[in-house]
Amino acid sequence: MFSRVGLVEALDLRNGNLTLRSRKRLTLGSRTQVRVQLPPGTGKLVTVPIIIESERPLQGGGFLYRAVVDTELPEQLEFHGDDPLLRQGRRVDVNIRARARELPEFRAIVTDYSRGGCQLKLCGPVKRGLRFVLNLDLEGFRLDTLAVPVEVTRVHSADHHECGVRFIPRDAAQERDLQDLANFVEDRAGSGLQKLLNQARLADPAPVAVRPAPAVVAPPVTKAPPSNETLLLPVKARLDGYTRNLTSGSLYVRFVTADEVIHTLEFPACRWLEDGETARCAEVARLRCQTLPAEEEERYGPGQWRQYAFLADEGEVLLELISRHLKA
Amino acid sequence: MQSQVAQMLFRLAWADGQIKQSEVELISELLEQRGVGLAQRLAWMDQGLSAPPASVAMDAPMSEHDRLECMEALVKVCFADSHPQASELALLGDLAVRWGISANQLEQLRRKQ
Repeated sequence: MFSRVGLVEALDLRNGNLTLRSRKRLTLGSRTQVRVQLPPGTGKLVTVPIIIESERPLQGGGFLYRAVVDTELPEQLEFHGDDPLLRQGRRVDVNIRARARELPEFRAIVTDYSRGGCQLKLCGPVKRGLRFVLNLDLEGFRLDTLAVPVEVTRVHSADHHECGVRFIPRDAAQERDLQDLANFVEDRAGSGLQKLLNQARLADPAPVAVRPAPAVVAPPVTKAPPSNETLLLPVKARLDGYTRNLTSGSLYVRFVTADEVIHTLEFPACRWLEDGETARCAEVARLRCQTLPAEEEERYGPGQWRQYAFLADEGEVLLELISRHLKA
Repeated sequence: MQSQVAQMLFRLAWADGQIKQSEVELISELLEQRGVGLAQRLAWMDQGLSAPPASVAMDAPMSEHDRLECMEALVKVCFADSHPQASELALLGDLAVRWGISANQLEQLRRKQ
């Protein structure tokens, strides 16, 4: 297959990621176009814009490149290649928690994984040649943990402690587990957003259990927001007027948008109102919303109270009030 | 349907425990594009963004078109500031699996941003 950048051969194409072999060197990070036969063996040549993401020199000349396809390709063009090159020495960035008695603070983070070994980020130094059993905490993989004997082959402790270890599988079954894990991380790393999604799961230092599929999800695990957290909601409308229902205490504020449609907001149980600059300027850019501290309940009554302010473009307060949560 | 989409957007915005102004602006824009009027938009956003939602129905929208449209809006919010949080991505992934949206479709939606 020929292209502007020379002879290239597509080895694998999935989820918009193309792996190709080229005799000519391509520029990392560059956007270019290649002509490739897709799927291989069909004789159909396709010109595809790509962005080169990684490069690996090959023995005997040439380079192996991984690239992102910068267009939408029909799914039927995708194929899973079986070239042995795809399986050799590929290192994948991961973030997997690991444990071992011999490690400082008994723990490490696997930052990079290949078929032969991995790179560990440590809490302290270790010695080259140290052998121990490394326990990998896995999520999403068919095994929850994998306890594999390893040997430290390389140490690095300039500004932080790291080491490289090689796997010493106990038996053929464990060798297969390691290969499967390599396939798993490589496959996941091979798809743009999927990579991010899975890294979010694999890498979360305090991962949550995989959720079942209920129709209703639990509230997010978050810190409680400060009670006076401020929201600035875009409005972009002209204030047309306001009225108050003396029986219910609700304040009704009318706006006109650029399309001359009238919108009315209800501020239930309005307790306080201050008209600042509406006579001078009626163009509202934002609505500032804030929950009043709980202590204000003594003053205004039980329950949550909100302070609202209509702001002009420059931030001037045009109209300010205190009420319950606003309604449409 | 619009209310359900709005609730999901709020839920996603809260996934990392805080609401950023870029998320507020984007959600407002997305709701406006979907035909939600100013008053309704302000009322929903005042409720949904002032505190994390207690629980949100995450049932799949009815048609495939609706699901993809909803997911597109969610992807936009997730990537609102180009630095999606792990918790936001995890929620997006959960929804994609639940709604039968493939990694490939999700990737295409992301590239539209």
